[in-house]
Parts: sequence; structure tokens; C-alpha cells
Amino acid sequence: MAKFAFCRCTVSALLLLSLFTGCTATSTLDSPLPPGLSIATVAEKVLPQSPISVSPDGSLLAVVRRDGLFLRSLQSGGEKKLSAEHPVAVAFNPGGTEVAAAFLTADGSRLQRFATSHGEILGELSFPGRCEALLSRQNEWLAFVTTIESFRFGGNLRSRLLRWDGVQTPVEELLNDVTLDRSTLADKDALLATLRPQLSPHGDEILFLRLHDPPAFDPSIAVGLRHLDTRNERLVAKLPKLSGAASYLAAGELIAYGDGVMVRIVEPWSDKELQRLSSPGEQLAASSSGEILWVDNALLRRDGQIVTSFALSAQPVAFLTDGRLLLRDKQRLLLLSGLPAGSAEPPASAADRLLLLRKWRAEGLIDVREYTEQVGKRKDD
Amino acid sequence: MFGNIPSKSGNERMIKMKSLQISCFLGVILALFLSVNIAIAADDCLSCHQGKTPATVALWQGSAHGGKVTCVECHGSDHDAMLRGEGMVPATVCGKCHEQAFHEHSASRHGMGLHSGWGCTRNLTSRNPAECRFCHEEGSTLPKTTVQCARFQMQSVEMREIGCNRCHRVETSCASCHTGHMTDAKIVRDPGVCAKCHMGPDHPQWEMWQTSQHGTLYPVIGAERAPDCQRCHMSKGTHNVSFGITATPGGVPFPEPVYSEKRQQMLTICSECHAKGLAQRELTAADAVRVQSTALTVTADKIVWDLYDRGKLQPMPADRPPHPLSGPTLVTDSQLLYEDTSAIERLLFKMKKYDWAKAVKGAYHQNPAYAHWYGNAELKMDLIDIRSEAARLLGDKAAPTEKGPVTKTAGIEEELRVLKKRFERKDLSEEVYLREKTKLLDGMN
Repeated sequence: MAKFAFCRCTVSALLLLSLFTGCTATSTLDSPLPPGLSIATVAEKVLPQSPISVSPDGSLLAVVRRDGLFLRSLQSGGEKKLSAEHPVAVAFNPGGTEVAAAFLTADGSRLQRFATSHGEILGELSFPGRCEALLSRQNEWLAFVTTIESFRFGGNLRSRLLRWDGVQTPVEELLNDVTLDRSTLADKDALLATLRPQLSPHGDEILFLRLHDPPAFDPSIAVGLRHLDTRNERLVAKLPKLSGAASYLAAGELIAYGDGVMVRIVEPWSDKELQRLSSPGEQLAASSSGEILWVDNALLRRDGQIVTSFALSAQPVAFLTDGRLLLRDKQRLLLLSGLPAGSAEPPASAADRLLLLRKWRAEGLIDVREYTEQVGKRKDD
Repeated sequence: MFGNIPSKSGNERMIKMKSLQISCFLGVILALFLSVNIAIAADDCLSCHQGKTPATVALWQGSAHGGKVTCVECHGSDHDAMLRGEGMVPATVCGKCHEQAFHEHSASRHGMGLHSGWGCTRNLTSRNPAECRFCHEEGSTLPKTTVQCARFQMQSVEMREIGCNRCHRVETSCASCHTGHMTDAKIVRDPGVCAKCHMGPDHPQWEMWQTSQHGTLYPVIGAERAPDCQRCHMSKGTHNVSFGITATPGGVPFPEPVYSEKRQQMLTICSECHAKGLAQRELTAADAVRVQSTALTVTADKIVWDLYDRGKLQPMPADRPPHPLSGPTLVTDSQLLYEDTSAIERLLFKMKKYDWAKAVKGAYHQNPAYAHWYGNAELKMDLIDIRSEAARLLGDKAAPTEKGPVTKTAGIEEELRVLKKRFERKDLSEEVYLREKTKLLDGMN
């Protein structure tokens, strides 16, 4: 008890100190940083709730301010204005040479591709529906688009994945077409934010959340994987309530999801549950190695040990492969440095083979045992 | 006399008596009227039909039914329905008097002619249970009222009637063999009566018999002693034409003990003229021809399924009108079509439906030309054509595609996909499936 009181006093003292020293970054922290970690503000006056994206090499940020969309260099702090409008989604391409932004229009959404070098518009695409999220993989932009048709009893939600190579007519894939009760649609924006898919670290599949709202039953969310080439899906879990989150970890071989009570870490292809963490899991993010997790405003190691915790207003943006974490707190963007670096991704020479094995596994051509054996064989070589 | 008793009770009695007399009188009049009316009804048909269809009336008059079984008793009295073509006499009407014949007929393959051209497979251990849906509702043993035959459903209304129902209605119409109004057994004792349906490319039993030694004896030694259709398949006048038949029309033998029981039935019939050993050897040899011929069609079947698994059929089922029962998928079972398919499936149809039947039924009917040249030789030549067509369809397998040359892994992926499809349709055991996959995956490293 005494120890706890001492700890509280220390934290309070630190917070007070930070106020005096003007180090506003520390107010984002709910506990002192352990040795080796540091935090710094990298951008301010960012529009609250606006989308943010960081380039794959961690050098550029796409941020939205009151006066539009900007490209910001993390190193120099220099900024370039890309648009005067406020996008609803932004994303860099895997090479970091382009950034795409989706804007709402009177009859749907407009997607614009900008060159990161000079900011010129490279391409544009308009489509019906509201773009909720943008993802990108090799030679393809993925827009998560929703349409809600309102009825007296509630509404109908259609969510689809719009796949665009940047040149030709995009291809649409239906992800969810569900009738929703009025009460389910009460907090529409939060609901749609929950459903945003994530791209696997290999860029070959998405982790999606699919809504079910059967009459006379409580609504639920299914967590699943969808391979982008084969379109095969695998159900990972069914969450009994509408709030929940899911995230890839360990190079996309593990999934962490929160079911409102616990965070569960599972091997999705063998249905094995590896670990449970006592937290509702409404906010989840993981470093590329999967060794560090952001779970409900706390930064944890895989063994559950708390690294540090953050103010309730803080949200993770992205874990960078060099061990840094980009997070936002209200209008500020902060960078936490000193986390374990390293990626569990395979060397480039083995990447094609791994992608092929993952595709075969998704299609059911090989089972988990065969997949593990084949991945292991390559490592032995 | 009652008038002398003018009491209240006397009057009542008199009224009652008069009522009784009137009732009796009316009853007699009604009875007379009805009997006259019935007589008029029978005479009514004849009075017109003697003028309009005199041959039909003459046939009826000359039959065992003439003057005993009236028109109305079989056809009913709804003349409008008859004019609409609904006056056909169902077998159930005949069955009221000809009970035994009706039951024997119903138990035979003829008794399910409308529901399945291939016969029920429920007693076969090797049957595909999915086929039951063609004739039955889930969980029911009663046949569906609608005909579940893909080839039937593909036809025009006119062709269905003329080309399908005229044979398959044998299930519900005794007239299919006995003709409409005659009852002379001579008609149905002539093998020619069977020829209406049991001829042609799909099951030429009549031609086989006619040109076999059995058939050549018939005109020479006469129906009394020569073996004909009826003698072997309707032994002792039974209406169960499936008597002694050991396999389904598709060539799948019945399981034991049904198989042995039916074989003994046929041997008993053969033994009327032949030594039992000879008959046994002949039927066993025909069994072997059936197994050998089936092996050829199974090989062809596998080639076509392999092409389907690889997406090589031209056109693929997804790119042509859907199969009326199974939708946009490959069908090579008893519901195989000869139209709206690829060329190789059309060859498979010929092989399974025409040439297999000629080889196998030719062997059972002791016809060497049918068994060999029309059947066996055609089957083997069909297989050459199917292999050749398959090679053509697979010909571009190793050729460069628009996306570049086919890689080793692309080949492995295709083989894995083919293996998976074969395993899913139980063409491969789990053990073989895993072994074959391991071989392919080992080839990657």
C-alpha cells in the first residue's frame, strides 16, 4: 500500500514537473517511462478524430489540420499541403512514393493519389458510399466502403472492398450485407470505426470484422481473415458484443482480439488460444514482431508485463519497424522511441515462397501441419 | 274402407298409407329411371363411338372386356376431360380387377418408368446417396410427382410427350404394352411389343435378341419353343420384368443376397433349355464384360473430371446453361446430358449411354456383334477420342500465359487443387490424398 502510494506520488510529481518544464508529451503518459524509452511530440494542431498515416519507412506523415491535408517530414518537420479538404481516410503505398486520401462528396467518396515527392495528383476515382478506411499493398489500393440505407425499423449496412490498381476500373467485393436494428445503429460512427479492416503485414489478406444482427438475438461481430487473391475466408472468433478490436501480430501468424472481457491471442489457422490478457480489448495494436502490444491504453510485453500506460485520450497510430510507436493524444502526435526493434518478417528471398504457402493454406490446399513443415524446411535450408 | 272411419286417427292412417303408396310408386319410377339412364350411359358411348371410332368399338367388342366392362368403368364419365386428352386409363383402374398383375408390374422396373429411367439404387451399397433427390423428397420413399430427369427437362413439351412419356408411361399405363382396347394375350406375347421402347442406340435389346441365335430360332421353331423377351423376362406370365436381373440399368450389381437370389432366378429360366453349367458360364462371362466395360467408362469419367478440376472443359459448366437439376456444375452420373455440354462430355455420354449398353446387354443377350463391334470396339475407340480431346484441352498447359511462363510452383498449385477436389468428392482416400500432397510439396524444395 505504501509502495503504491509512493508510486502515485512519484507519478504526480513527474506530471507536475512536466507542466513546469513545458514537456507536454509526458502528460500523455499515465505512468513514468521505464529507462531506455523516450517520448517526443512530432506534430501539433492535428484535427481531432482525423485520419493519420505514416510511410512504411517511418519518414513521412500524412496529417490533417484545420486547413487541409499535409505531408510532414518526421525528420525535418517540414510540411507540404496536399489538399485544402479534410479526408476521411489516408494511406501510403508500400514504397512510400504515393499517398492516397479519400474525401466525402455529395454522392459518395473521391479517392485521390498524390506523389509524395512533389504532391501532385496522380489519379482520382469517385465511387458511391462512404470510404471508412484506406489500405494499400503492392500495386493495389483497397478502400473499405460502407453504405447505410435507413428504414423505419433500422437500416441495412453494406460494406465492400473496392480494389483499385490506380488505372483501371476498380473491382468490388462485398464484405457484409446485413440488416440492422435501430438500437444497433444508434452510434453509427463508432460502429463503422470498429469494422475497419486491417491489412496483414504480408499484404496478402485482411483481418475483418463482420456484423451480425439477427432478429430476437443480440448483435455480434465475427472476426475473420480474407485472403485477397483467393477470396477464401476463415472465421477466427465471434465477439458477443459490438465493441471489440482485433489486430495482427507476429508477422500476421497470430491474431489478438478483445471480446469485451479478455484479450485473446490465437493462432487463427489451428484455432489454438495461446494467451489471455485481462483487459476488455477495445483498443488493440501490436508491434510488427508482436512482442509489444497496445491494449486499452497500456503498453504491454507479450508476457503481459506493463511497459507503460497512457492517458485515456491517447490512441495508437502505428508501430514502426524500427521500434518506435506513433500515437496521438487529442491534437498532438507523439513518437515513443526505444521499444524493441526487429521484424518477424522473412528475408526477401523467402517472401515469395511464404506468400505462396500462405495462399495455399488459405485456399485449403495444404493444412496447418504441412504449412508449418514447409516454412520450417526453408528455414533449415 | 278406410273412408268409413272418419275419425281423426283413421284419417291420419289413411294419409300415411297414401304417402307410403306414393313413396313406393316414386321409388319404382326412380329405380326404373336410373336403370334406364345407366343403360343409356353405356349405349350413349356406343351410339356415338360406333359411328365416330368404329374400329375402337370393334376392338372392345372383340375383347374379353366387350359387353362386360363398360367404357365408363375404365374411362370415367367426364367426357370433357376425355376431350382434353385425359381419358387415359391408369394402371390402378386395371389393378382393381387384375390385382396380381398390377402388383407384379409395380414391383418391377416398369413400375417406376416415369420416375427414373435408371431405376432406384436404394439397395446398392455403392450408390451415391445424393442421387436420391432426383426422385424423392428428403426423408421420403415416395417418388416425387414431377419427373426428375435432366434429359426430360431439357426437351420441348412435344418431345417430352412423344420422345419420353410414350415409353416411360409404362409405369402407369397397361395400354403401353397391351394396347388400348384389346385384351388378346397374343399382342403382348409377341416380342415386337417390347421393341417400341427396347430398341435404338441407348438399349437395343430387341435388335440384339432378334439377331442372336435365340432370335433366329423364333421364326423357325415358333413362339412355343423359342426363347423370346417374354419367356426369359416374364417367365410364367409374371408382370415383374425385373425377375432375374442382377444389376441396375446403370450396371451396378445388387448387393448380396439379392444378387445371388436373382442370378438363381435367371439360371432357373435358362435351365429350361440349357444345362445349368452352360448357363452359369455364359452369365458369368457377361458379368465379366460388364465389369470390363464399366472400367472403361470409369477411366473416361476420371479424365473428364480431371479436366473439370483444372478448369479445362470448353465450355466449363459455369459458362453454359445450368444443368436443370444440379446447376452450373459437372454432371456425369445418370443425369448426364447430351446437349449444352462440352464436346468431351458429349463423347462421354455416347460412351456411357450407348456403347456401354451395347457391349454389356449384347453380352447378356448372347449377341457377339453387339457385344464386340457395336459395344466393346466403340467403347475403346471412344476412350481414344476422349484421351485425344483431353490432350487437346490440356495442350496449352505448359505454354506461356499472358502473365508469363508457367512456373514450377504454378504447376504444383494446380495439382494441389485437383487433388483437393478429388478428395472432396471422395475420389481419393485421406491416406492417398495426404501422400500425394506430400510428394508434390517435397518437389518444391
